[in-house]
Amino acid sequence: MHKPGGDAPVPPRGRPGALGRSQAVARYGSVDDEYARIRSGVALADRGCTGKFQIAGRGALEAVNRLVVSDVSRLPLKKLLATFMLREDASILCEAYVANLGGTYLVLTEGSQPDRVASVIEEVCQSVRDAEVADITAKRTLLSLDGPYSWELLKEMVGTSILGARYLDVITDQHIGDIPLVIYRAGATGEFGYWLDVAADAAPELWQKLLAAGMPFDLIPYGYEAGDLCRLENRFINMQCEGATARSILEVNCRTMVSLEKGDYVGRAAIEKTLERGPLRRLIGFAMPQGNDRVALPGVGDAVTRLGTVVGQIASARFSPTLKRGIAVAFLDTEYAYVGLDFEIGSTAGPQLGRTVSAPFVLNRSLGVRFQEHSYLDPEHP
Amino acid sequence: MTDARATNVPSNVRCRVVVTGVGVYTSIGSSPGELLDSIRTGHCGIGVIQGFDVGQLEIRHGAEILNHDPMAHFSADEAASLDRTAQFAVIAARQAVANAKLEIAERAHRVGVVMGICAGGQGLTMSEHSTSRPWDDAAAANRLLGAAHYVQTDAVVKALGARGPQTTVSTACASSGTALGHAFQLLQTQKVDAVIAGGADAFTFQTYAGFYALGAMCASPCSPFGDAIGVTFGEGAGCVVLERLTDAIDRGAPILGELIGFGTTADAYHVTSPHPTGEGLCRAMRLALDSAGLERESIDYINAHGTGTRDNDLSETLAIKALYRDAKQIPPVSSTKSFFGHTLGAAGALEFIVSLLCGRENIIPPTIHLRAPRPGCDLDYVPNEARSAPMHHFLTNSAAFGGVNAVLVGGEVAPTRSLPPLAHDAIVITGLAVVSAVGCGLDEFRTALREGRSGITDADRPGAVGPRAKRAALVHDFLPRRLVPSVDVRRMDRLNQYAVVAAGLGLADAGLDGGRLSEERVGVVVGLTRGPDRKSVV
Repeated sequence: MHKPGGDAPVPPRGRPGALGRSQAVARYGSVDDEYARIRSGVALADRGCTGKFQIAGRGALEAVNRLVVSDVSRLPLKKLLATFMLREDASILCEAYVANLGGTYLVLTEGSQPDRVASVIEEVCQSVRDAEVADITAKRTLLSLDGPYSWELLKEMVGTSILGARYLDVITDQHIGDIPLVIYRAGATGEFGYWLDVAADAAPELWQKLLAAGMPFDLIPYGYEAGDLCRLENRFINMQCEGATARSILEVNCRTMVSLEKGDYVGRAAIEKTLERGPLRRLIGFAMPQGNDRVALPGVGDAVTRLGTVVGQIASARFSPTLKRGIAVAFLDTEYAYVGLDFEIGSTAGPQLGRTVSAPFVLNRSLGVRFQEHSYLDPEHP
Repeated sequence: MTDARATNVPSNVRCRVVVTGVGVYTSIGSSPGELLDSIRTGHCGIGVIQGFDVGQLEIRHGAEILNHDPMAHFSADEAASLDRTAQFAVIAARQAVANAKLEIAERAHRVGVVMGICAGGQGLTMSEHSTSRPWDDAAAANRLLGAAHYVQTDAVVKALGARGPQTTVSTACASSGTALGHAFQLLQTQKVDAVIAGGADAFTFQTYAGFYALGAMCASPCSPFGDAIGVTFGEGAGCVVLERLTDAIDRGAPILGELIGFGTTADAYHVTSPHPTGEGLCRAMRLALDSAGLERESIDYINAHGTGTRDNDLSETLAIKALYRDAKQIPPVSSTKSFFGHTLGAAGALEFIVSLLCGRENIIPPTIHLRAPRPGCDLDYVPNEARSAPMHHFLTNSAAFGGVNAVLVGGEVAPTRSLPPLAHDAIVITGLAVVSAVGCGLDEFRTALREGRSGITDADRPGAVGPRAKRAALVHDFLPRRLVPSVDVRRMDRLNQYAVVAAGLGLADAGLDGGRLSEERVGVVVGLTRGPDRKSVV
């Protein structure tokens, strides 16, 4: 049985997390296997590096609205909002999920500068009257159950009520055994996903319970390499790649998240300025010619050229096992950022052609899975 | 089941509500006797649709009333003025009143009418729109007005001369289940002495086309809980006469059974899909049992909503299993829609009547066309043949589009029954909200009233077609998200936006927004003259 925190190389990522580890796990075994389980069964991840901040008090809404780009006043009770925190220059500080818990907001953050994120949250909350922030990152752990049949495993553990959870619902007062937890119907793989928010000291026990209950589902743990691949296939922003190099949130096509109707917030002035002329670059997806050639993948920072002119840079690239071809995202000069155009992409293995394509790269298996019709455990209705 | 009089019911029992008359008009019978015979013998009313050409269509089955002759029931003028749904409603209501031997004229102001209508005259109007414009002449205008839901209830009221409360309930396929529940509450709170309650809906091409487009219909006669997935539409009407037990005894009325409890809930989940686990329906069943003062073990039969769709049948099965979690036994469950199709606004009333009639004969009605069970549907659905078994109490479920659930508890009139007391706390107004031509939000509205400002202005809506009213009181500067930030108005028409925003403002004014009250304890009642018909009005 796998244990959290394997021997795989683990580049630093995030703040001290759950399960006694200070770094996120890149992989537990084979990335291909982990990817396959996410895409076709159930897989379990430790999101212990996610920052967790509870903001309470009469000024909580104002404080959260100053922190993120979206208008949190529109967030219904017991719902999550996927959004971003920015720097003053409108570049992305971190990905954020805000949960409305009724007077109190929980802000979940993920980015490459966790300490900076924590200090920004602290500063903003101090500047707002009656807003109290508690950094509960070390006290709580997020585990993530992902895959087209994750609902089926979770149903066996918390009951059928979980089947009614809609995307971004917050489901409070749940138990697995005697472990209390909150479940967020969320995920970053494109497949059905559930984040299990549990006290840090109970996380190892919950991890083991999930692995044990997941055996009939062939559940395995997965690290961030497989997760990042799924992210890219869905064109979700990866804060370690395109999120880190975007000069403005407007470059990553998240205009609809940006509220100009609420009051001031970090990065607003820069956004307004950029909107006057429009972003100079936009993120767009590339599909490489089909073929099982993982070596020829472009690298981050490789130039994208059109008729000999450099028009952009690769921000992230991976080989998609589903598509059996390389896929990438690149920041292109705005006038070239359209779907259906061919470009030349430089790579260490030599230049290759890439065609711009619309998002997402793949259709997730979960789109065709309904609990009314399908079951991992029933081979007649897979 | 036995009649109350034969069991010497004590006359001091109050606020028990009994059924003294029933009227039905369906594809399997135009009287209670015919209906019961069809159920007993397995006679199905579903056949190839005759009302319109289905030769090129994939779905060809429906449960139509093929021999409906308006002239057998109405004068030429009446027949011309009443749409098919209204005709069905009047026929069933007259039958129920005759069955109850109720002389309405003697106490007309104490007799109410509550009708459930789902589609109503919608089909008629929409087809008319394609060929004529409602402002062309009076007849066209009348046709448009005749499409409103209240018209069918109005027709029943006029036909019977009832002058008590008149209510039209439109909660989609739960309409007549809710209507019976509302009537039950009117009697329990002594507002009336008798209520004619029921529902009606006629088969229309528009309804058929809508569900066809949803892909929710069955290619063969529907087989709820079985291997053939999908719904078959029907048409018809069902009405009951409800009275308090003591009044019924006093006037020597025939007592056919008792309406013992009612529960209603909302899923607040999806426009067309039920909550996947049947959570809302399960709560409605619990509430109905609580209001009846009965334990789940007292129920001998459940008449399921059982439409035949994949989502409904599985979620309803889960709801029933949740109600009976850890119970030794789950009572038999069947869907009588397999006989007369899904009659929309009439469904709840007809299914209550079927259960009542069968209970009196100690027959459990079957689910016909049930060849093989559907995965996940593993209850006793009484396949294909009626079963002899005592039926003291039953539940009838309605689970409608929009997530409305209505459950009725019915059964025999037991000599004694202890109903839980009704809670009648003083009712106070704690929140107000306004969306109007003189202001959106209370502050703006108050200011307008104080200043004597009129909202009636020149009516000039860009893009409007046809003659325009010169003056009208139109809502201006309506910005939903400014008023209620968390409201999501995507895909809502203006009418829905007004209702949702007013409700949100009202809750906020009452200090009940932000989850301060459990969602399950917040009800919603919205009054409308016409439903949202953005597409049907030019």
